[in-house]
Amino acid sequence: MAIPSRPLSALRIAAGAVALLFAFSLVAVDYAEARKRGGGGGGGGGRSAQRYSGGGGGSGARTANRSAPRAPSASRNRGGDFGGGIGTKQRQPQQGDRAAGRQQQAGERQASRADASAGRQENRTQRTDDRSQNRGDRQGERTERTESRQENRTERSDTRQQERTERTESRQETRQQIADDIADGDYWDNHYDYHDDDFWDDDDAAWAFFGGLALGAFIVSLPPRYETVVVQGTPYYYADGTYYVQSGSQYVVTAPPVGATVEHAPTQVTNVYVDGEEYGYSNGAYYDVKPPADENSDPTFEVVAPPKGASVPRLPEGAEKKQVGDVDFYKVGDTWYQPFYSGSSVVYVVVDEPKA
Amino acid sequence: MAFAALRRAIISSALVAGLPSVALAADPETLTVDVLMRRMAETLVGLQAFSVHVEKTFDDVLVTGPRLQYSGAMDIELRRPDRFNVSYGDDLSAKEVWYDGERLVVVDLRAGVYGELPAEPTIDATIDAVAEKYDVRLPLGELFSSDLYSTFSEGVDDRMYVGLHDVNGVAAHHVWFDTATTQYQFWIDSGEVPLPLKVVITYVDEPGEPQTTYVFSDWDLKADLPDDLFEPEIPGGAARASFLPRSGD
Repeated sequence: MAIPSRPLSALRIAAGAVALLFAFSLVAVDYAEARKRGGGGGGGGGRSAQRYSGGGGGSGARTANRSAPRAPSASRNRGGDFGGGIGTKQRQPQQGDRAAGRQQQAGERQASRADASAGRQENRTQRTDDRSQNRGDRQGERTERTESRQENRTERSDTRQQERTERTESRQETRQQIADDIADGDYWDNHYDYHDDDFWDDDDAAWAFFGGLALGAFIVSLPPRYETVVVQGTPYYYADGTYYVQSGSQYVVTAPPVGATVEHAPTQVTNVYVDGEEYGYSNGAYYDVKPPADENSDPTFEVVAPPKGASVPRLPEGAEKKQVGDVDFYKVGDTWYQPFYSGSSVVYVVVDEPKA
Repeated sequence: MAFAALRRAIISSALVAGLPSVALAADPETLTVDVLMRRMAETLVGLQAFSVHVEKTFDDVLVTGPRLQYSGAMDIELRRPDRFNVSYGDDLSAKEVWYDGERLVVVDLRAGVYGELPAEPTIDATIDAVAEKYDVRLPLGELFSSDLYSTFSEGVDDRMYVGLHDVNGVAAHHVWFDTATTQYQFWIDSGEVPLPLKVVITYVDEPGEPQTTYVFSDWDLKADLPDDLFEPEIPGGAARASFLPRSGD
């Protein structure tokens, strides 16, 4: 692993070391008091973690800061260090002193002018010499910087070219890759999951994008790119994971029809595995990817019945909560889901219809 | 090299003056970071009750290339040995968790789903137990457990004292260290109470090297935290869910 360079200045280290000395003498427990020595906080402005809670769920959502609001006090440490009016005290000399002082200063100024003039001449010469030298140095630096920039540019250009080539090659591989992925049961996966230390944020970041229309919503005209699919004699119109049926002169958003096969996968899909089979779950539909018929065609995507045991991060739209015995379920059409906590995230598992 | 020698001399002399018990055989850079982390850990572990606000950002790297950043925040109230409450919300989720010495309750406020687990009698034991049995990781749980120091000192490959840097107007010791998979940066208050003010975690072995950043503010070490703060408030109509056992068990 590459270790970053360490541009530490002696001054910074010295400052850090001095600060360490203070840190080691710690006794105080009252952090607010300790911080106040650096300046005031003040003000209200309680914040809430739940301002992010956004849409839906929990009718009982409440603000996090139930205790008295505390000040954000971003600059609390600065007031004490730099406040206190350094300038004001110096601006109040005594009147009498000032008049006498003026007279004396006039004489001194006269005498010092001659010295200053000679000194200035000397300084000028010195500065001119310095400037010449500086110019030379700067010219040298510029040349070095220019050369270095030129080198960097060439390197970047080479890198970009290489990346482009790699990307092009990678695109060419895509078709083969798709076939391999389908065979490997690894077709759906639209974001890398990384293991945040606290596992607290949801594992379904892909859903953040989904802003689809609600079931039953009417639209006047179909999206520009749609497919027409016929299922059991009924024509459906499909665009990016959403299905519509015609209703008079308008179109109404409907549940994904099992049996529909579409040519374009929804943009946002969560991969779901059941008994080694891979499905793409999007907007309430489970898609089974069908390999391309031949090397010149693309895969297609069939909406299948929710497979028992599938575990998904979001319920399909229109789910209704049902309690059977002491257990809570959700029902969507004929499909039953049971909520579970998987780690600290909620998942919904497709289950058999519960018996009362 | 004279510069490096000066640097070492300054750090070493500061350490000798400030903490004579520390063995000076180690590399000064290691020593500095280690001492700072230890002091921070001791401070956190020694807090009997506190509340703090944390702003969080975290990345999500799509396979297609985009590296997206989301934001969130949480409020933590903790009273040793057996109470805590965390209220958490981000762009993707909103949750709250309570622990009252007998049970741990988690509510997903967006989903309207809650779950309850029997808990151990202490915060430490509960954090360990729910992670072990159910893979439930509590937000910033590592920072508030008693073995904080060992959590962040074991497996460290390299360390660096970066400098005294500002976090929301407070001068902080900025340190960096890494393990085989992760790089950590801590900003530790350089004042009298060495609390963490900011943490950046970089997952260097993940595609796109996603980062998570926590910025701490409003530390209140004299927080009045009565028992009722730790009593779960389950939203009306929320569904009850069981916890799945940790996979592989």
